[in-house]
Amino acid sequence: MKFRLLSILLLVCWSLTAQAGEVEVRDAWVSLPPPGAEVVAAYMVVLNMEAQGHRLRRVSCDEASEAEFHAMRRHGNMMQMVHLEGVDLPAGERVVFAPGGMHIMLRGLRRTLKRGEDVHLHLFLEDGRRLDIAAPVRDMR
Amino acid sequence: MSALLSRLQVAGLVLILMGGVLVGPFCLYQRLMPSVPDALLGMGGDFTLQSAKGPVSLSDFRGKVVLLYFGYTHCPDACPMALGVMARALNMVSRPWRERVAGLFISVDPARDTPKLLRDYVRFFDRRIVGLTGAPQKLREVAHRWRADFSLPANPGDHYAVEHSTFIYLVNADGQVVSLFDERTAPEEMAMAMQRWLWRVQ
Repeated sequence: MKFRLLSILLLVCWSLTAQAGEVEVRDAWVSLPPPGAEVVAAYMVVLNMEAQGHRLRRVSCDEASEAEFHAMRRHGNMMQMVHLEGVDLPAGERVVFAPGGMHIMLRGLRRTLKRGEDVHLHLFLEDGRRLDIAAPVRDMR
Repeated sequence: MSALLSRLQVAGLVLILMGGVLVGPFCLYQRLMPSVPDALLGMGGDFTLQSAKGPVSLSDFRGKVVLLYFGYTHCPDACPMALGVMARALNMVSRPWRERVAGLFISVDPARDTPKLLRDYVRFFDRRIVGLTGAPQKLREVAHRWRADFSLPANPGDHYAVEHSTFIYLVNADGQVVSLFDERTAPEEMAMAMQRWLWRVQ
């Protein structure tokens, strides 16, 4: 009897940890660049559903030669773009990349982006994991 | 019953009604007609900068209500946001007034933003937006009079960012700055403010 209860408890615990244990990216998108634009921004929401914190160390993009994490900061009455070396993902929290806040800056586009097509981003976590994301190009006019 | 009302009383009533007819619209007019906040008096003024089609002055837009923004094209976040909001606001102005509104995008990064590149960039947002730039000294003068700040890096490498203020100026048909918005302002609010100044032109 005791053994059965213990095994059920263990099973429940195991299934709970298996269901958590995920860093997920949602609603990723890239803003359709105007003609002549050499830089473009990508946005997303990162959910860390694990019990421990993580950190985004690096980002790369198949369609651009360079990709960086940026934040916008107010400096007097000016807006300043700040290059971030990494982005913390606290346990159980969502980190939002949205216009006016953080973004992924893509520079050196390898081809012209069209509305609706996917841009492929790769996020590298500090623990070595890689998240591959397809971010559709959205016309924000 | 009517016999009870003396001529004097009738005359009084007529006067009160007439007063209402005259004062009512006047009060409405006062409420709807916009005014310029004191803090904005003396801000801005005419300038001449370069567009892809040659020199353009703010005074060329007399009779039009204008949205004006200082930025640069190597700006992935704030500038496209601002131009997007400006374009949406220009499109919300009621139909008869659509050609009486315009946008100006002044690049403070003339080293990279040529007038031709600016034209292609701003047209993407709306054909009524004109891209302008000029010599660094000229841009500093204009920005100073418009109380806009920008700061280019001292030793720019291949890639650099420009810090800049993010005001969207509303300029009335007389060339006067009348309101300040930014890229987070709802386009509906900007369109309504433009519409109020357009009514005043008529």
